[in-house]
Amino acid sequence: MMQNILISLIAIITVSIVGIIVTTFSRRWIHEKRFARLDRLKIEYKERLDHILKNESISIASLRQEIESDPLRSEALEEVMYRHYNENFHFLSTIEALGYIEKYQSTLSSHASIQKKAFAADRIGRFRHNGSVALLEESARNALKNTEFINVIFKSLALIATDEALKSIVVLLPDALKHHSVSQKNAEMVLLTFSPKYLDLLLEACSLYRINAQKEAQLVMLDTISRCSSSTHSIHYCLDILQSGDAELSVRALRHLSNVSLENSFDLSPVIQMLKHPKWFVRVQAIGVLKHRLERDEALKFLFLLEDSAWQVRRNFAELLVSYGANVLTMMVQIIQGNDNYAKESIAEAIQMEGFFAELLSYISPESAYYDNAKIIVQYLNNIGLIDWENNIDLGAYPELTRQTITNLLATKENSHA
Amino acid sequence: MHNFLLLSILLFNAGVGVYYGLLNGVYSLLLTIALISVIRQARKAKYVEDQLWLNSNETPPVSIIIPAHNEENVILRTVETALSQEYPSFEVIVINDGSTDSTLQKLIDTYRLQKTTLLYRDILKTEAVHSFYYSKEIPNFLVLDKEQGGKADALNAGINSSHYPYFCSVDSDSVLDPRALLKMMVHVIENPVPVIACGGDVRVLNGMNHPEITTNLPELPNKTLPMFQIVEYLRSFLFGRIGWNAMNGSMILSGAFSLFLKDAVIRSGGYSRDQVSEDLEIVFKLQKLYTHENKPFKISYALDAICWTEVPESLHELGRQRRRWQVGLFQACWKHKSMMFNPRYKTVGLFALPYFVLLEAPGAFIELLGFIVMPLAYWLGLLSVEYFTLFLLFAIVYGIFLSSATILLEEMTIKRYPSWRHLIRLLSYGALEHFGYRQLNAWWRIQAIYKFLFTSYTWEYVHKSGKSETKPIQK
Repeated sequence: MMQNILISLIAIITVSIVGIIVTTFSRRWIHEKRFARLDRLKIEYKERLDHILKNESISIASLRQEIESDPLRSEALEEVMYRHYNENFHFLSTIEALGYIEKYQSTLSSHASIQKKAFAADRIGRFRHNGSVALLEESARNALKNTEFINVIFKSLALIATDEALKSIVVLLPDALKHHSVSQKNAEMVLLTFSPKYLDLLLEACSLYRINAQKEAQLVMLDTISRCSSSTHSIHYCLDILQSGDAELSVRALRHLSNVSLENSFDLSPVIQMLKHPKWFVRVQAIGVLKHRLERDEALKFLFLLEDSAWQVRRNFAELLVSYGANVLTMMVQIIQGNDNYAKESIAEAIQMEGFFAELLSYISPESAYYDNAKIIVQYLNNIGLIDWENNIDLGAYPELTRQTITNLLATKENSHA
Repeated sequence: MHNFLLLSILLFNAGVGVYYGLLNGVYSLLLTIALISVIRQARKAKYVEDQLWLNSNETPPVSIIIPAHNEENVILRTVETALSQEYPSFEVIVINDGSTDSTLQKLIDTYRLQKTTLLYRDILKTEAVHSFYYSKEIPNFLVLDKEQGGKADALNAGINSSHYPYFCSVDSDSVLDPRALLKMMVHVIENPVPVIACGGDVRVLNGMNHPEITTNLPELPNKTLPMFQIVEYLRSFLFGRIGWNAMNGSMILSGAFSLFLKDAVIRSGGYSRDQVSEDLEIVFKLQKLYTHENKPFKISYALDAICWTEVPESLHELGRQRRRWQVGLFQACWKHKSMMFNPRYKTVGLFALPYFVLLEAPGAFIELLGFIVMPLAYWLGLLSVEYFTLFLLFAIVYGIFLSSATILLEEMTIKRYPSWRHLIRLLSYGALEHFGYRQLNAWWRIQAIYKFLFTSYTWEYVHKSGKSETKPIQK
């Protein structure tokens, strides 16, 4: 009994192996033949299309007839059109006349296979056919839980990149996020292809989500806005967002404000409030906005940020301080001579990150007003081993007196080691 | 005594029957799932492209971390392909983990590196970092020189020095396809569930000339051992990993090429230095962390992100590698045994882990027992030679079936072996591996079990010549 079962199994598996081998070889053979013909057809169509499009002749009825009866010809022609004539003035009208749009619209509205539909949506997107936006939106509505399909629809709408396409995304986004069928990153990426031309539309959508309490969609939209260049409207909108106190929204609003060019001033008080926000990433972002905007004396009121529990906050605030350059040397010396290792380290790192070190060395000259302070700071940096004198410092660029003083500093370190 | 022996043998035979039934059942299931996934993937490839992400500033930047210990023969090749990635924004960090050869010097000379000082923030504790080297011409390239601490320690040092939210660990003997990183990242970005780790498809480099990778025309090695390993890798990646990934049970990501969310790895404590297979164990840690935090996550596998790695060409080196892998698997499973049959860990806890521990791991041991029991059974008159032969034939034929099916999967997906000669050779080696090679693997696994149970395992370093039939880089 058992032996018979085994014999049967062996026979079935052996037949399967033969089947697999035959499939593998025949598949390869068929594909080779198919691709060879496809390549030949592409060359043929390239030549013919060159002629047709250059002569601005739209008499393509014969072409349409050819491709309707032969799917491989249709594929070849479509590929040639897309690859070589994408930017041609007659591209879309030719594609429409050849029946591609009609074919893909029909697939999108009535085909059962979601993969075929996705393929059709992708093609419509590549053809940038604005007339299909409504159909794309409707198809997405019917398959809101299908991640793959929704991603393709979003990308297609991004490729179409018109007012209508953006409005479709705005409508679809909350539900797509609710059903986890699109990732935040993907949605942001798609939305970014519309900006900055559509910044007002994005802001409008964001307000709408805010009213409808669709926070996830609002976050995505705000994230997109945060990466766009600013306008008066967007600055006010983001300042307004800060009033909500919501960490995730605030951090995005702050990111947008940090991109505002320095010529555009705005009310800093809501941002200053954020320096005391319980979430460290909000504090970091607020520091980013204030850098180069906040008055020095105002900044010195927030020295406690050098002792913040998050190193990112300490470092960013130290960088903000260092950006005041020689004006805060005394403050830096006080920190360096203090007992707070966090603050000391942050200042040292900020000097390095901000590229302030070269300026600092130029003060190492007895006639400089900052001589004493600069010396203390350089000595400290040298002692903690943050300066690679041999490889990174071109001492030849400094006056003799400065060089001499620096050499003495080096000797001090050697002595201290000894 | 005689009766006891008889009973034992009968029980063993029944056990083996059940065991093989279960094992082959799982294989068949994985193969079926892989086949469905591959067909879907092949269709999807027609409308999903990575160009959009390649041209976007929004594609998350990645730090490629390459730990290296005495890799003078291969390091330049690896760095070169890492730096040539078609990806919007990335950095390459090589960690020279106390090499005693000229690994560091070769990097310094080739890329005209300069020593620099940077603050090293050891968020993950590591051995001391001595110095940093950077290149003025290649601003996204950094080399760390540190005290030897092992691969896990070097990876942790790389994480500490990295600037980006994702990092990709790459073995120092591996070369990446030009868009490997991008293809992997597309899986991460487009997945609505946060992907915290993603493994790539690892292929065998031996026999190939480096430029051929970019022209998509790889060669097959002439030597037998690498050929067997090619079939083995295809089987492991094309049906094992695709199958488990489709069931959300990815447990093993290759150390040769995997992408991680940096924050997740840091919060899990980084790579463990006490593990032989730190790349395997980190996945367990991530699973635990996110399950305990009750956060949605996915550990994924990117079939189209390809990395080529050099495999051993001598039995001695191969044995070392296989023992290390096996001990690593045991260590990780033992350390995280609380995950076994634990419904909190879903597919991994209920299926993937029990499969590895109860079905995969004892395979070699059962095979060894078979060598003892079969003659004994024959001597006691309990063994039907006909039945035994049929059983053996079944095992071989089923193995050939799996290998052939995997080659069909390869044909349907990546199709990286384009000539007819490649196809014939792959199919032949898929059949030949059942006569000697599989048994050798079983022997190394038994050695690993012994080492794991009775000795303290020391890392068995596999020497990489960088020459193994691979022609030198033509720069």
